[in-house]
Amino acid sequence: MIDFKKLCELLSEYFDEELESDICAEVDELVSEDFGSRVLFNTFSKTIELCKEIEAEEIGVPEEIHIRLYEVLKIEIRKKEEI
Amino acid sequence: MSVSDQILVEKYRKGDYSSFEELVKRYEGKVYNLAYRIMGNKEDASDVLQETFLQAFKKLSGFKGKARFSTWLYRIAVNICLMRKRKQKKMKVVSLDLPILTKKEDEVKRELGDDWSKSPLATLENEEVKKTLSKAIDSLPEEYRTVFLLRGLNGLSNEETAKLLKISLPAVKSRLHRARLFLRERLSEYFREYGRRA
Repeated sequence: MIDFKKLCELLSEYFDEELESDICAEVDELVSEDFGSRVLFNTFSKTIELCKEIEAEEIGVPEEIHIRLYEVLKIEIRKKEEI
Repeated sequence: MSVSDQILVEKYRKGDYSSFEELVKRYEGKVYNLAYRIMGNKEDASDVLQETFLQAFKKLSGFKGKARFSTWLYRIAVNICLMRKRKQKKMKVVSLDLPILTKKEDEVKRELGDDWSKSPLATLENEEVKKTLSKAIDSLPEEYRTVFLLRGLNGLSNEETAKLLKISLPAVKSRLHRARLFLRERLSEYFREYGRRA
């Protein structure tokens, strides 16, 4: 049977769906029975959820940087075409 | 239906260099975001973005297609970022506030406090939570942050991340896990502090 310490080690694998089903069942059992484990489990899960949301928020490429990139690449493309 | 990256790469190989522009259009945002989050500022991120696509343009004929084009491109970007970081570190000599993910921070204490995951404030719409999380991500040590960003932001698998960074699969998993624990702890601290204030 897994304990709180073991749960700490297994959380990422649990949420990344990399754990065997019997170990998942042990995690679920511990979480349902132990308050501290449940808090850790829920807050870890929420952290992953918030991280996914923040990762989905793309920082747009500023216009001047986008323009500069295309100008530089156009010069390179022209150079290559001339060879 | 849009043309696959592989077809665009093939077109480039056949001399249609304009196909590269489509690849740039597809990935400039992702590369910029990755660079911005690793480097931490707009100036370095824009330099990395430009250098990445210049290198990719020059090296694309040597791309063997063993990995996805995106993974290959991110590898170039990460290498440029890490090289720049190394140079910056050399210039700094000593950093007094260099964040270190110590064992102490990594240890998880049994929580006897509130389960903040159920709080209506635990959302990115709450600017303080968003700021706390962003700051925590930025303060992750570089090797953890890079793994975290490649897995999350750029959607690479553990295996792809391991190959890209030339580290083992267990190392990727361990760094990602420790990064998540670290971020959870920072959020827990925020909610504890919020509870004291309220």
